[in-house]
Amino acid sequence: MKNLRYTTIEGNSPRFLGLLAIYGFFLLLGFYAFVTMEHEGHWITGMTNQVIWGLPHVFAIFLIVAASGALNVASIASAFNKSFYKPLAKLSAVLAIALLAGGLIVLLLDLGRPDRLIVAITYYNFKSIFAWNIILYSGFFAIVGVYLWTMLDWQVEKYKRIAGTAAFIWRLILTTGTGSIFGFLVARQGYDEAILAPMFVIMSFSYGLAIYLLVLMATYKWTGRELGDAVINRLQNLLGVFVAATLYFAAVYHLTNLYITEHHGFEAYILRDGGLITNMFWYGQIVFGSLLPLALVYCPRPAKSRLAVVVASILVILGGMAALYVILIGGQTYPMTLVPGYEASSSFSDGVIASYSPSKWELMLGLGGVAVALLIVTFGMKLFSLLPESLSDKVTNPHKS
Amino acid sequence: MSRNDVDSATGQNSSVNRIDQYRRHFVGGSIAAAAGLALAPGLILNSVQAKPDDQAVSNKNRWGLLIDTSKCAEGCTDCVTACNKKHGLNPVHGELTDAQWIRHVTLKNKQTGHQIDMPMMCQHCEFPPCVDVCPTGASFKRKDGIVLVDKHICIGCRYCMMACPYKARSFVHEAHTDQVPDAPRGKGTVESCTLCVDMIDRGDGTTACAEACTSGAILFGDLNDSNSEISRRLSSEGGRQLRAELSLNTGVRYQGL
Amino acid sequence: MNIRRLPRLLLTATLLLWSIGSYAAGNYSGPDRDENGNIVPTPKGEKCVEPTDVIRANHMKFLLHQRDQTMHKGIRTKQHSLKECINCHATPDENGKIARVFDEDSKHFCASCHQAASVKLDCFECHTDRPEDAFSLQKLPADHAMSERLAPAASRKPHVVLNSQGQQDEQK
Repeated sequence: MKNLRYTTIEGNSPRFLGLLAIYGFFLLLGFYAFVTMEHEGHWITGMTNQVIWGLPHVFAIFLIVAASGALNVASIASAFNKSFYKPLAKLSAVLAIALLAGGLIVLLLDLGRPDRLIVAITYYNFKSIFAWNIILYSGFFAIVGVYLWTMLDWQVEKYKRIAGTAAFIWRLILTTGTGSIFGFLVARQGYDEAILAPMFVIMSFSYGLAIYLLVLMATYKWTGRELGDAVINRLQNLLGVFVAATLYFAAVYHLTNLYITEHHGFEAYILRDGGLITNMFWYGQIVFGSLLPLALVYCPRPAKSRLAVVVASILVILGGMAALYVILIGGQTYPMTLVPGYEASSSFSDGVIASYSPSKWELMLGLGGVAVALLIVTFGMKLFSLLPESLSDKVTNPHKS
Repeated sequence: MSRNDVDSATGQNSSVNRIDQYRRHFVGGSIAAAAGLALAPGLILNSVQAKPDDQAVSNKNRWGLLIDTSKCAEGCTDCVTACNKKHGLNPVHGELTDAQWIRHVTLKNKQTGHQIDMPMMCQHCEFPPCVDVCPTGASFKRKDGIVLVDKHICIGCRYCMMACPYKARSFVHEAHTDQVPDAPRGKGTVESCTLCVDMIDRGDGTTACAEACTSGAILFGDLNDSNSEISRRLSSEGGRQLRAELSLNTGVRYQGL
Repeated sequence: MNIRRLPRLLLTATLLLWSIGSYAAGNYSGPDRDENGNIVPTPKGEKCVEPTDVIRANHMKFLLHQRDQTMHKGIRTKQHSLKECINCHATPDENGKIARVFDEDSKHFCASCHQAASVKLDCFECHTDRPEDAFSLQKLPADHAMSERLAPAASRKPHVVLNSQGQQDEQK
């Protein structure tokens, strides 16, 4: 492990340029959607006065949550001093910064007045969880940036442990803050539960690692470097643990609601009567997003089958999007109780399930954010020597092989 | 009202401001008198006094509404129409995205079928969740209890709409050019009932919805003034808050729920 | 570059920018005028609430200050109120039409200057660019209680033309 050679990716191949072209395409699409939404106003999107945060927020929150999860590999290496993970740490930090940037840009461009970014920075209401998050996000960039510096520059390497630990603590607070955006809302039936904060932390572990695994495998495959089974096995086992933990939190969240009579209506909506939302929950979040990846990761299979890991990671990502869709859209479409015992009706969707159909603009904006994240990672790998030339079993685990 | 009253009350010497004050008193007083005559002869409805233009609002007052749902007629939307007209809320892209500062809500008891009709608007909470969550402080509560959006610093994040337990807020989904002088509103910001803050500051002693309600179901007044009609009725007849379990101490109270 | 030269360089740059800025400001021609030198559209009042050079240089500061006073404290004095600016300056032309801010090559008092000076004007994304009179006359039906309430407001004159006799005028 001592003499690993870290190199940049070469970055002239047709594959690299093709990748950039694809990112560029989605980037342009996202920008076009933003300009159109800005010009026309939000009425062209699927959002209404009932469903206030739509698909862009599903993308944005997914990316932000995944960002802090992507830092996990680095945290295990530096904060917990596990040397096995050290060669993987640099990519982990860059991926975290990239995903956060992608998520934030979607969040920013979906604002009603994105031109007032300066107002968001200069006016602060310190009781607002959003305002806390603005500090948490900027702090994340700074701390992970410094952490990355300690990993890239041998002159400051002695501070790596401290920086890594600080980054680890900061990412825990950050995801707690993101979960609290919903957890601290008294108004709506689906929120107002403190468990959402730790649930978001554990979700971040799993989504971030799934993205990390895919990026790592793609990079090694496309650059023709060797990636041994030891790395894959460790990471996929970790992914399995995180997916199971996420499932546990989802179970506790829904069981709590099922016990409390007041929430029966909401649970019936999510678990049984919600149509698309119900399908998203059972098929998206539970079956394909959790159970199937668990099976793929843990069930015995032909040795060295990388495909299973790839599929499991993709499913975890899609399942995560579905889970956030259920939390965000499901939480908003279910009506509030104005007077207990009475059914409400009005011109403002009182007492009825609100409808939401995402528009192409929102999808384009969300995918634009994903493109921003991937573009930063790809460029990061070209600019900095993030990954070792080889991660073969011989290199990573010389005693075993 | 004599000139000396005003001077001693404000200590103001500027002739310009004095003129404004006189007019305020004159306009406000005459409207209050007219309203009193029209609605309940022989009964003084409001003891609301005009605030001099250059004086800041204070927590001496807490403005609120008392809504008697038993007087609220099924299918009547007079208050809604008046509000929309006063604030230039014209239909644009349909019910789902158009602003609704006030709406007619029909409640039906799930077991007995008992029906209640009532208007819903911003409840002007003492502890407003929308103010708590607003990242920039655009959502704020005036000293006299009116909850407003400072659209100059609203970034359109809609977190307040997520947090409001009454769904009282609307997002301006498109550009407008037909605003009226006393209700500025523009694309990309959030808005809600202002309790007709411009009328209150002018000393009109009523709101557009209360003024338009011919059955007298909506009463405007000062909850901090124990002699006001609203306080007297609340103390003798009682009144409930919507979602009272949230302990937000709303400025809008309901009877007949 | 020698670091000791930095303060002098900064000073030079500041002076340069400042002189360019003041040159541009000095050259600015002001609002549209007709052949007799009168401002068009013709303001209602006799003179502005502030001396011309003061209001020209500082109107945005006045408006910004007033904005927070009105919004948060309910202070509604008229001297620096945007509404009163509009009441005085947004007057009908000879055809009885009131120019709108977002018209192309707008003749609206605010827009004509801002377009000439290339300064973005975003007040009117939310605030109306038309005077109160325009609303009380056109939009509100006479039988409605609200027109009764709005009528005195609409007939209010801009505050500069009020004098101590204004009180008697109002009470007639």
